Amino acid sequence: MDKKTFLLIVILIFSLASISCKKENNNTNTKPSDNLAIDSLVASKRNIIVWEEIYITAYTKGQHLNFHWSTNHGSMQSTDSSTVKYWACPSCLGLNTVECKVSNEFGTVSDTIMINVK
Amino acid sequence: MKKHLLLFLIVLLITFKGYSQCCSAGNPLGGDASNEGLEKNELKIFTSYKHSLSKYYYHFDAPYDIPNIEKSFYDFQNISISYGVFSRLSINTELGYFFNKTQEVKLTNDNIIIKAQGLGDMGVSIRYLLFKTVKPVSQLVISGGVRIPVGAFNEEINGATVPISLQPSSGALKFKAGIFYSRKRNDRKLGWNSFLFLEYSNTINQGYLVYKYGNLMQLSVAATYEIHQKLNLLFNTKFEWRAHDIRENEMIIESTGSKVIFLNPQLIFAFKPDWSFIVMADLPVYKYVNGYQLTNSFSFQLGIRKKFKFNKS
Repeated sequence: MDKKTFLLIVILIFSLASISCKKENNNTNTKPSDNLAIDSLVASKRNIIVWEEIYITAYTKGQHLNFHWSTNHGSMQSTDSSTVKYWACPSCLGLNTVECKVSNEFGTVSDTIMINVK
Repeated sequence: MKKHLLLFLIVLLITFKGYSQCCSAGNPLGGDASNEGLEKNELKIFTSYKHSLSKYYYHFDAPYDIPNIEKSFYDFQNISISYGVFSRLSINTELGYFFNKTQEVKLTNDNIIIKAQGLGDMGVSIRYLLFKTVKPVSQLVISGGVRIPVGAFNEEINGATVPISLQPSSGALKFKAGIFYSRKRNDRKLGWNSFLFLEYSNTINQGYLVYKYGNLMQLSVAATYEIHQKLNLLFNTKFEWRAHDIRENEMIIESTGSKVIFLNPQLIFAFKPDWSFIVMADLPVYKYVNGYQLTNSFSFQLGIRKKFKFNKS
């Protein structure tokens, strides 16, 4: 094998390996029960202006819970596991979705809440 | 003349308080510090470190006082490998890692630091040498490729996902194309080159996130000056145009997109045969942003480049 072929193969392998290493989303949701459920997501305000800070809390059932918060637009800081502080910068105007996923040994459940940023 | 040029460059680098694109998702436009074609069986490896600091909000073309952002910065390492497959065709791959991509935010009761790190996007492109002359030294190169979102796009802190703009990967497949022309007379120390770069982004469609980065166009014109046999100065002027980003339901995000003119001085020091040390900076001299956007103060890059020639002759 000459050097040229070898280099091309290395580049090809590098490319394919990188593509195949992408994370897969685990969206498998469990049926809510007393062992694991989100009763509600409650925001201190649902209509806010840019840079205004609100708190969003997940009320849940179950033990040994892990919380995972995500949003399509805006920033969040976890204050404790079940509550996040949410705010939005000028490029986050609109109706934004905040999702909370809660998991334990019984599975994963999720819920969303909409926050309108003006 | 040489002293004046060097002094001018140093003063510019130290005192400039410019503004440019703030932290945005994915890699900064890196490349291998050159857009030239390669000879057959020639291998070029380039690695660089880049630091960028953002501090000021702008509204249209003027500073706007928003006290909530203290600063935003990133430290990024890039590696780029190019290889001349045929006499006119070369292939380039590049990948980068963010040591940190950080934003310090002032909120009502506390200061918050949001930080992410990880692998950025991977670039793969080909370059085709349309023509090359020896006297004067000139070449015309066209290029095309993709930027693949292989890196981290789900970074989180204590269970809360960090915003898109701080994710190391852009999360979107991007297509890029460019055309490069350079020319220098053999008996002159001064030459010039120009580069047109276009980038189109696919829409991210991931759960609740539907997002399309605005198209990007960059047009550069550079004067190159041979200060010394081993030291070259490249004084690049770059116009960058970014269109609005778009979210779900084709909603245009008003506070995205910009028009910027950068000065992009570069010093290239060939300290050994086939080895070069490169210092460059991005210093925006004019910026117009749509809506309200965080803009940065400066960025600089240090890089090292090595060429290998595998020609049998």
